[in-house]
This record gives sequence, structure tokens and C-alpha cells, in this order.
Amino acid sequence: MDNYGLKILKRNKPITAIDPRDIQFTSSKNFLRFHKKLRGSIATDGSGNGSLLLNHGLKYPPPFFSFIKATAEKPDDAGTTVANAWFSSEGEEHAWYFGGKDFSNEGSFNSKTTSEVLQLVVAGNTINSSFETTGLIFINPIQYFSGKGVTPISDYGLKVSRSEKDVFLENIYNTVFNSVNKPPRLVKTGTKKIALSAYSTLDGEDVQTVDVEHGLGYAPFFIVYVRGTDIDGNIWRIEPRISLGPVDDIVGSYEAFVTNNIIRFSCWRWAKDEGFFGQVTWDAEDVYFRYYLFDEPLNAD
Amino acid sequence: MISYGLKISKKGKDARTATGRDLIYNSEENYLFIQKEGLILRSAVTTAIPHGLTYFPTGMLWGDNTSQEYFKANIGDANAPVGLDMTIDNYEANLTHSGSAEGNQLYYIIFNDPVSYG
Repeated sequence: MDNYGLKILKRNKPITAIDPRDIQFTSSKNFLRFHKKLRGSIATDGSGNGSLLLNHGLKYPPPFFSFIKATAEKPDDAGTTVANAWFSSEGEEHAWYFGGKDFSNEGSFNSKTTSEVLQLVVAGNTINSSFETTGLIFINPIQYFSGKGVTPISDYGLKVSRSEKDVFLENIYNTVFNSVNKPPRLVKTGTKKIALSAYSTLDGEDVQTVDVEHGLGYAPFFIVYVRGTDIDGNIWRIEPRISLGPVDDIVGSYEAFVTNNIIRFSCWRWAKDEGFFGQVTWDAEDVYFRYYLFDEPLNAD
Repeated sequence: MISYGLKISKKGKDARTATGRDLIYNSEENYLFIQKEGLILRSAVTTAIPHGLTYFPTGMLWGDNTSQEYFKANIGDANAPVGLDMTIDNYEANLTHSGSAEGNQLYYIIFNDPVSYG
């Protein structure tokens, strides 16, 4: 351990412990810490495209997570509508897939930050004319930045500077912890598996889902990681995930969404174009989803 | 009130009674802290970052395009002028930036928490 700062061990662990799994808090490490939550709506044009610019108030590009909810309910793979379903941004076109088993209902949602704004973009959607969005902005700078004038920390509470940084500096990004910018608190975490069957001929597409009831009463900020044993081997990837199948004519999409009560994990496998329907195969595969749910609601301030 | 550890309330809230989001930090609760982070200039499509842990951790990646617009992984080439991906095993994280420009910036974080198959 560094011989400065503050360190709190998990209960019943000795203060000399060095395994990161035993440490509850250490001022030698950083946290992602909230700066601001940005909420807004995106109206789309006749082509299903729309965008939204939201000022984040920092002078550098910050780390962010963004989420979208269709104003119409999303059908699940059985055609049942699911209210208040929030998806994370990014991914390719089919990763954000409103239509259940209907290929025609789809769209993409991307987002990015600059030194001034968070931009949220919907493209080619075929189901809604407007969408609710939430962006979570963190103070940690993601580019080289040495400017001043970023919101100073008030002079109460706890403030721990980065190693070799003056704790009295007013730039909040030079702290590893402070009593203004809250780190996201974990409220539920776990791993869920979907066992996918082998197909000798995949006719159209195959959709498998599994739910975890979180019971929080709000749609929480979430991060999900995916590991597909057949496609990805012994590695984890960030959700949503698109993968090519063992033959190049199949695509797999692994995604998640949250509602006020559940987080749902989905595996979608389909032939890349209709010309291959009924002609392609897929191996059996176990797909693991590692999920983290936090105390920050996506659908409330 | 907790009998050990650290509890910090939001300004105007009583740390002895505050709960939930009125607390900035409570060492009785769980948080992801950043085991390793870095800001690198891309010099190849894929950059390997040994994380020094003996287990599979999780992480996150952001990277920019030539206009210094930053995206979060993973994102594909189909919908943005940058392709970003991060894979993690029990030895290293591999950061992939499939954009064409040398010198793009990548910011990665690796959390302390291990993934598991529970």
C-alpha cells in the first residue's frame, strides 16, 4: 500500500491486505465520480433520425454513459410489450433492436462527448418518433488536460488528492475522492447464463432471454459484460456485443435492458441476410452476462 | 450509524441519519474503484495493457476520432467514424481502436471487481 492517504478494508480483513478484492476504500485509487445527470428527449424525422446536444459544463471531454428509452413500449421476443425499457448506447445497428422477432423494427443509438457537450444520436429507427434519453457524466478527464477554472470543491467534508497533487488545488479532477462528486454505489451485482442450443439450420433468427428481478422500483444505471464461450473464448466484452458466428453468415447480438423491476439479457442469432435463412448452422454456446446495477435512476433526477 | 469505517453525507444532510443517495460515500456499501487507469496515444490498432491482477476484472474504454469527439466502447465502424472495443482476460486488457488516425487518445479504466460465474 502507498504510505499516504486513507485505506479502509472490508470487514474482517487486515489493514495489511493488498488484494484489491479485500479493500473497501483506498486513496491510492481513483473512482468514477458523478458530475451531472443530463436528461432530454430526441425527436426524430421521417427517416427515423434525430439528435440532441446537452451541455455538460466541464471544459474537457468526460467519461460518460448514455441510455435510451423508447416512448412506445418495446416488444420482447414473445411479442409482449415491456414498459419503461432502458438500453445502453453504442453498438451496431442490430444491437439496439426494438422489434422482438420483427426484423423491420430497429435502429441505432450512439453518443459522444466533446469538451462542451454530450451528443446523443438516433439513426434509422423504425418504431418511435421520440425517445427519452439519460446521460451520466463523470468528472474524470479522458484526455490530457491541465486547464483551470473547473468547478472548485467546497471547503467542507473530505478531499483526497491524487498522488503528488496539491489537495488545495481547485481542479476537482485532481482528486481521487471528494465529498461532492459521488461515486456510483453498487446495489446489485451477479452473473447470469443463457445456454444456447446448436442449430443445424437456423431459420431466420433465434432469440433467448433471461430476466433478473432487481425490485428497485426504478430503472437503474447499469453496466453489463458478456462472455460467449463459442465466439469469444475466455474473454469478456462490454455489452452490447455483436459477434460474427462460426461461419460468416450468422450474427449474434448480446444485449441488456432495465426496467423498474428487471434487467433482461438477450441473445439474438440470425442469418446476416435473408438469402441465408435456413442454410446456416450455429454451435451450442453458453453465454454469460456479468451485471452491475447502481443506485442512480435513469428515469428520474 | 455504522460502527466502523467512513460515511460522508451530501451537503446539508446529517451523516448520522442520511441513507441512499444522500450519502456521498458509505464504507458499509459497495463501490467499484479503479484498480488501474491510463491515458494513451494510439500507436497500433490494438494495445495490450497488463492489469497485474490474478483474476478477470471488468473495465471500460473511451476513445476519440480525428475531431476529438469521444465515444464509449464498444462501438462499431458502422455507425461512427471510430471503432472501439475492449476485451479482458485474467492477464491483460486489449484495447482496440480501428480508426485510421495515429495519435488518437484512449482512456481506459480497469475496476477492482472480479467477474464470476455465480
